[in-house]
Amino acid sequence: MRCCHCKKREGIYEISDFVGEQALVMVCDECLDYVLVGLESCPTCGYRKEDYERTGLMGCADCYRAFLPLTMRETLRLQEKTEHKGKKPEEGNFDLVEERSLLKERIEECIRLRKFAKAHELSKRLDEINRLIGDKEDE
Amino acid sequence: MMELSETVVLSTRVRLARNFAAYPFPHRLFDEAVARTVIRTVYDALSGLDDFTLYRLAETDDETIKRLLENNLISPALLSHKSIAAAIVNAEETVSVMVNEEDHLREQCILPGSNVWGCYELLSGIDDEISKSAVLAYDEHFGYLTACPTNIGTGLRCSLMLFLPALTKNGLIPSLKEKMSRLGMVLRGAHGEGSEASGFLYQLSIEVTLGVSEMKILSEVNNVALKIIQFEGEERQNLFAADSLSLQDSALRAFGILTHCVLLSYEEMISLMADLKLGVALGIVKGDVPALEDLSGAMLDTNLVMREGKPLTERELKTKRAHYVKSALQDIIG
Ligand SMILES: [Zn+2]
Ligand SMILES: [Zn+2]
Repeated sequence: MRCCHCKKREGIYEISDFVGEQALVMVCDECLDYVLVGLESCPTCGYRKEDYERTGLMGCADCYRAFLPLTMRETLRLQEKTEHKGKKPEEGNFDLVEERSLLKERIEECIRLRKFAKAHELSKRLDEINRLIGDKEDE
Repeated sequence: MMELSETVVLSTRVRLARNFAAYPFPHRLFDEAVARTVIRTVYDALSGLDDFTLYRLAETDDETIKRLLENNLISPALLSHKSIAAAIVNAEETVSVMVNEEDHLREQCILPGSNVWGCYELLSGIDDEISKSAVLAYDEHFGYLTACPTNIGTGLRCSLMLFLPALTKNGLIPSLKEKMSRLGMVLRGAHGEGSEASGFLYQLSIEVTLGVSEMKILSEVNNVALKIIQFEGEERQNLFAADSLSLQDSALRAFGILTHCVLLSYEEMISLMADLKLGVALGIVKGDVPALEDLSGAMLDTNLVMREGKPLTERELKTKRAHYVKSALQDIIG
């Protein structure tokens, strides 16, 4: 796994020790200190760690990286998982595998509500996706 | 009789939290020129899509602000940043983008009935359009970055407005709340804790935003909604079997008062509407639950004021409400 901080080098250490969970993210040798200690204030916006403790809000997008240990700790406290899954800005649209499962559900719902014309229309799109990516089930 | 789901899930709301990568989050955004740039960029991006109206809160009159609030198009939190805040709302008032609330952008869609996919499709299109015009704060590992870490990842929150008279009357809400929380969802009174008793209205929402994709979250909400619909449906049958006369009595009594009173407060209307809606949902009274729900919304103080086009006193509000409800019910209730 790539180093979670520089995203360039290969990660060597699992930074599970300081967050108390298993195999969260990997970090490379060069970035280890930075990741374990973090910065006192955000180089981009000047926000300080204690500002976060006071408000519960980050100052800007770069604060998340500047205060990485804090970010990891808070992520574990507030969320169930630590790594994003889902939409990315540049992607724009749904991933086809996901769109397929969405379509299947919607088709079932249309049939249940007896909206057959809509179900037919959606199943055409489903066929199209199946042609593109094969109709084998994922997972 | 109407489709059961329409009488249980009254509306669906989906929202996405987004930020511009280049600027501090709104609580640290002190440069009004930057705030204006954010507003302008988003408004320009959306103008090509649909007929959107821009409300800069600093320049919007109090009546309009109150109306936007009561129709859930803006949040109270947006008002705390009034000098830099704006709302961009589509013509149907189903989509609104709050600018400079807790995050630079809170894109939301509210549609009638159970419709998570419809909401997300609409919203996703809007979000794509915005993504083309601005570099959004996004991190490979943590996903979309938001002012508060509770929203990072998808930035998505999905909630349903539920009408659960039978589960409430049969004392099943506490156990349902527990079940929901085990699934990572929260069920609460729609107008705050303890508000259940008056209108039988609840909000179901899912809080997780990191590590679970949009599709998975929406599909979970949808599946849970289907189960609740079924559960409430069964309990309605039980309620009906146990004492149909009382239900008939309450529904018709409510109908009687609503169509014959002269002064009607919003609170009294909500509580009478709940009995009437239950009667309609059970087929005791012919009618349409979503239409009754729309009517309730239209009878909020601010919506009455807008309809009249002038300020109204307390007493005028009550008489106008009684008048409108009476005439509307004659159309809705067959
Ligand atoms: Zn590194
Ligand atoms: Zn910062």
